[in-house]
Amino acid sequence: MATQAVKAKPRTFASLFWRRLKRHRMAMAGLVVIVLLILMAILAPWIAPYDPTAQPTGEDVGQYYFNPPSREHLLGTDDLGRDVLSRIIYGSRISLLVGFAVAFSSVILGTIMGTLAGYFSGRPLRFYLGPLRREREGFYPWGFALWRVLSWFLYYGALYQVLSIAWTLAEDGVRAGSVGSYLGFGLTLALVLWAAWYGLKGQIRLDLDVAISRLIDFMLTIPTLPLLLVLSALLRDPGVKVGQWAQGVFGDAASVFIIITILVLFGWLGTARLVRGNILSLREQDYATAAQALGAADARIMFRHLVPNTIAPLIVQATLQIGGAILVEAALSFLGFGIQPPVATWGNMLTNAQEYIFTAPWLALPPGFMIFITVLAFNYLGDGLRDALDPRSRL
Amino acid sequence: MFAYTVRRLLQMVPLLLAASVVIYALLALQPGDPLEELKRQNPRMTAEQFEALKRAYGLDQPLHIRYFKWLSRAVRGDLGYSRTYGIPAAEYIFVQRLPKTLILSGLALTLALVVAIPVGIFSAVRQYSLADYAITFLSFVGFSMPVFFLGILLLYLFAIWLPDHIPGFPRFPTGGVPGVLPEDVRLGNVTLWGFLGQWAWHLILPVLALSSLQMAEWTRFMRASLLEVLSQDYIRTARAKGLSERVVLYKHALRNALIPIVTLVGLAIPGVLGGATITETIFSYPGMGRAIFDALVEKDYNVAMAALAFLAMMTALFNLLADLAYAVVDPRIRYS
Amino acid sequence: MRKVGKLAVLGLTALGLALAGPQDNSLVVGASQEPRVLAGDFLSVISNQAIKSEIEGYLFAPFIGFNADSQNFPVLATEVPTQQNGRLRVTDIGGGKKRLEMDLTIRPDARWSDGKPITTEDVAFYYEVGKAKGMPVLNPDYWERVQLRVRDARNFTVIFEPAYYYDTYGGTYGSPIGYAPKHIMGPEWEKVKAAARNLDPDKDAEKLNELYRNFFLKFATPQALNRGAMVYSGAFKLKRWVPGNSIEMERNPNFPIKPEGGESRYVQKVVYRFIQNTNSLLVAVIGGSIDATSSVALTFDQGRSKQLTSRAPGRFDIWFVPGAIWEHIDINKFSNCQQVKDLGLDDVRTRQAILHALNREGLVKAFFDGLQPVAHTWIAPVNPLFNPNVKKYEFDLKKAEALLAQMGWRKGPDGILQRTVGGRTVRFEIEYVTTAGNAIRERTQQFFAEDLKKIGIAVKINNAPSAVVFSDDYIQRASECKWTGMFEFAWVSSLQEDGGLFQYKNLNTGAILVPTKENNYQGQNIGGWRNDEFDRLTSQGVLEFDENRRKQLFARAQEIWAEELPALPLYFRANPYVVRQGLVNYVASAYSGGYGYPGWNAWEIGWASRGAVKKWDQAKYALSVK
Repeated sequence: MATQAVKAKPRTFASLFWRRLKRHRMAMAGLVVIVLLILMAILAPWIAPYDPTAQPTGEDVGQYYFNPPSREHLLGTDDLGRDVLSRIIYGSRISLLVGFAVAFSSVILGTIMGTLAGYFSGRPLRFYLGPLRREREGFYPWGFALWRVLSWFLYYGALYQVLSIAWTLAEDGVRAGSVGSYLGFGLTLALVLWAAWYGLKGQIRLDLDVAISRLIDFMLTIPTLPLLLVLSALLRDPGVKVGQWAQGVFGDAASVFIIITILVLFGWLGTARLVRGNILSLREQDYATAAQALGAADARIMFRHLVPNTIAPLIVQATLQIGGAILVEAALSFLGFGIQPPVATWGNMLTNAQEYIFTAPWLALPPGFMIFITVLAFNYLGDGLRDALDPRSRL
Repeated sequence: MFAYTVRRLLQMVPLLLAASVVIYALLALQPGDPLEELKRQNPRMTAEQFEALKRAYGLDQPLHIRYFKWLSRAVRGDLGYSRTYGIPAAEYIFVQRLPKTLILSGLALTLALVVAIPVGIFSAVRQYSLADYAITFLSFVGFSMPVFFLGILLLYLFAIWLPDHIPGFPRFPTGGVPGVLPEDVRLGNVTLWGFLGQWAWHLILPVLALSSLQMAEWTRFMRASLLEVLSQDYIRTARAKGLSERVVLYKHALRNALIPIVTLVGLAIPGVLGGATITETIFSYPGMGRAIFDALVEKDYNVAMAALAFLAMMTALFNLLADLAYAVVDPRIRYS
Repeated sequence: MRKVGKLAVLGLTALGLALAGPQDNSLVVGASQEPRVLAGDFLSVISNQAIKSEIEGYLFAPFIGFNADSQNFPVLATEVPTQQNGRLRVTDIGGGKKRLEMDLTIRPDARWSDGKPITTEDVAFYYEVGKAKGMPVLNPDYWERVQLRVRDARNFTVIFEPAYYYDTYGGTYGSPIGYAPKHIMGPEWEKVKAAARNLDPDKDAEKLNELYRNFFLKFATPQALNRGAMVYSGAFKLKRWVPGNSIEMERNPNFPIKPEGGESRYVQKVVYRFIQNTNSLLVAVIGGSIDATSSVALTFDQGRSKQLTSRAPGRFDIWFVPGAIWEHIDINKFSNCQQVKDLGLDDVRTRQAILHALNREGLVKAFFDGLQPVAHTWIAPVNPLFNPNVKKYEFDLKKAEALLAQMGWRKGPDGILQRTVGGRTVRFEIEYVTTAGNAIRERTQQFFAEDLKKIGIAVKINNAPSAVVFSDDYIQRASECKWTGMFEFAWVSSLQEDGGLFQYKNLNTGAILVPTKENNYQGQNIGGWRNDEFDRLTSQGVLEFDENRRKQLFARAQEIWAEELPALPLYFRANPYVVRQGLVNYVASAYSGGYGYPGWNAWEIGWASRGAVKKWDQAKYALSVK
């Protein structure tokens, strides 16, 4: 055994990882499916047999509606005679974009927030000194100064952002001249000023965990449905600049951007809580203490030693979230906040098909199956990734 | 621990106040006025008559006055009247809807847990066995299946297709609640068992549809989490000590593997109270999810406010409970 | 195993009860909506849902009913007031206003379900409650115009001032000649009056409202009604209401009108089964546990679905009753909006061109098998005032292109029309708004977008949930250019037609009906159309009690409307009904009972196999799927 290990060529982490992943057959199958899906999304204009929005023309077009699968239309036609296969192919673009963007952003955001909260929980002084500090150093002026500047910049930058958004809303007046908007802005201003003063005065006592955890609790208490209704009304009001800004920057993709933002806004909470819990217990483990004693900076301990140890549930979470985001996009179309027609997404196709579940049951199968197969592929890939990343798993 | 609990409870007060302000503001900002629909239905109403109607519903006052009025009544337990049902909002939400939701979602949650934990353990212990592959596949099917698709599928299968094609197959109810009231048991119209039986009969399909997602998700999590724990050094040590696999698994591994599940369940409970809008819609079940959705659509803001504020409170409470449960199951976590 | 067996048996017994139908001479009606309150809320202060009015049709009988042929007929009154029998008198009171007096006599055998006679005391009670200070009624204009004069225990006169022609229609919304059980509700009302004595309707409006609501609720909630808190006057009385499930009603022996052959031959029990989700409701209908559907039940597409139609022969009839719901596209005509000016939407030729380009015949054929007819004006063909001889805009792309060419539109490089307005080149890209989540409307929208593309008009779809687009902040603000092009939605083409949807000014009341900042965004003429002759004709029409002259005035108004095209008429919706074969007299027409519900003749509904005699044929009032 020992001689074998000596003789073996030194392997990089990447090649080891790839070798392990390759052995997981279902994960490889998942990877292949995902690559195929991405290719399908990119190559949509070349592989789709028809224009996804083209409707049949001429006399008696009704005969082309709700056609069951046939040779010309492999998956049949929908409620306007459009080719379902082509719509599925084009639909992959937005569905995958939403799924990837949401899962990726919320897992990153959630991990950062959860790690910070978990690691600094009950250690306000350590947070005040900054994550660049090493245990053995008594005083480290440059790292400390850098951290102070950075944290002030982040903190007051965030406060400024809150204030400016509140001002945009109040300035244009959700209801022009209403007492409500003045009051709302006044309230925000007071809160921001208080937070700014607190930042100056009491930051040294700030337990970051309390701040982040209470923020999560607060976010969890905000009901999504009324928020969506309000946003939808605000963003279409020509008097409110936020909507115009989104339209101007993203053009037709504005609704996609808005949906991604909303999903991320509420998507990171679960991940953050999960990571926080894990970090809380991991930071007490011997190897964390050891790394500290050896003089590793807090940032290194967090992201080099602790985060990789939470990777297993994280990857499961991320793969779940991709599927979840695709499904939520479907639910949003169901409530009328989805992507505007005639653009196809799997979500709005499935929602639309539900309306015709008795007239044309086959319409629900393709988008349902695509969502299913995508989620399945991501889950198997996640499964394989977890095993490949985990040095202790028995492969 | 006690001090920590008390501090967290105290922290909940400003949190809930802030949440109630935000929710109230969100509802006040909702596009449209609760009375606009009435005005549209009766175009002959003059501006003065409309103003009088607004006064009658207290909608003529500015937002902050309305909020403080609501708050001062709410702390005294008066949540106002439902505009569309005419009964007190509290009665509508807590007496008519919440118990029904507790029955449906509670059963679904219990079913999901009862299935997910043992199946997840089994799947982890037999990692890479045929059974593990089958369970993995099934749980993936479970959470990649959109709930409304599954619901309609179940309905179609058990209420139409199977009874039509298999003679003697019982036709499942298409939704709603059974036509027996609790008083019927008291009056002797139906036995207690008959009453419960009818409820169970109506609840089978919705509970199945509702629990499938969580069952699948928790099975996955249970498996992943147990595998994670099983690969840790102390388990190897325990095994090396010669402890039986049974003891290693149930005494050493399981306790730690349950930690993430505790979080998940804690986070799921407020969702349970909030009802399941889609499942409730498909099965015409009068629960909280549907109540909130309808209240928003019909702009019945007293009801929406009562329900949403209640949910906010429960969310905060169960977050705290999840954190505390954490400390109970994981001795490494110390709260001070 | 035994348990499963027991469950199955339970399910089957539940099913057995539901399947009864002709066997036990009962009727199970399926509805997708459940009333919140019933009976005691006689002014519809708490709720004015359609399903409430429909079920109250079984529980309460009007003095004057409104049958499937849109004619008045006496129910609890001895005869219908007409000018011929002298019971209906119209007098001029100057200032272009009229006064209407109607004499009614209550049937001598009219009784409440507890046996007490129905007298003018009950009528007086109704009007006393309705006219109480600060009563938050939804139809205040009716209460301001109506007066009651009681002559004796059975005779009374109702006076309208100013009066409009539709006040003579029986049993319709806005002009019910009502009554309520004073011997039941009176004592409670006295308490309410005492409590309200010192309240000011302006300052204490909220308190008064609460007081009144509590009063109605004592006689209207499921709990109260199950306790027997209310009495009924209709052919049926409420037996039991299981919220979330059903309402069961049984025959009221005190109801004075006896159907042909005796009431034992007719339905003895009516059960309303509530299944909110229409797909589940459809499953229940197919499964056979429902005998007929309510007016609030299946969707049009579900009525036509193969699953239903293939199972129908020999079991159900499927009817499509042409209704009064008018689907149309309103157009922003406010010239102060840049978009409107650029596209020339305020010019009639543009609107005519767009309508010529919309293949409406193709749409109703492809989407609805022609069961929902193309509309040519805003008045439904089932309305007595309907004028069929107006200008019609057939699908003709050539005509559309010619009209647009007149306006200076030329095809641009991208195939989209463009023209120069004030030195700028503008593209013909028009905003098209409708309610997101309404499958039929979104489908219609995409169908028409394709048509418009053919003549070089680009469509920018901008949908949102109905709560958003129907909020006053949006739909009523065309004058502020919140929506700038086309807006597809529906109005109900009311039996009380007064032209108010398109009047600039109601000459009788002086109200401006185009919503702008000046009138606090009131009125339904949301696109901002103004035609003084139209205003004059319609304002005069509502004062005309002679049917023929009224028809002439409205006929002319419709001609002007079709010529000027303030909005693009699409089609009139039809309501599907599924009725088990053998059930007779369960008949709806567009305006039966005033609202177009079945059950306006509740006492005549029965099973042919039980000896019920067919008096009304649904085929006369509806189309059916072949």
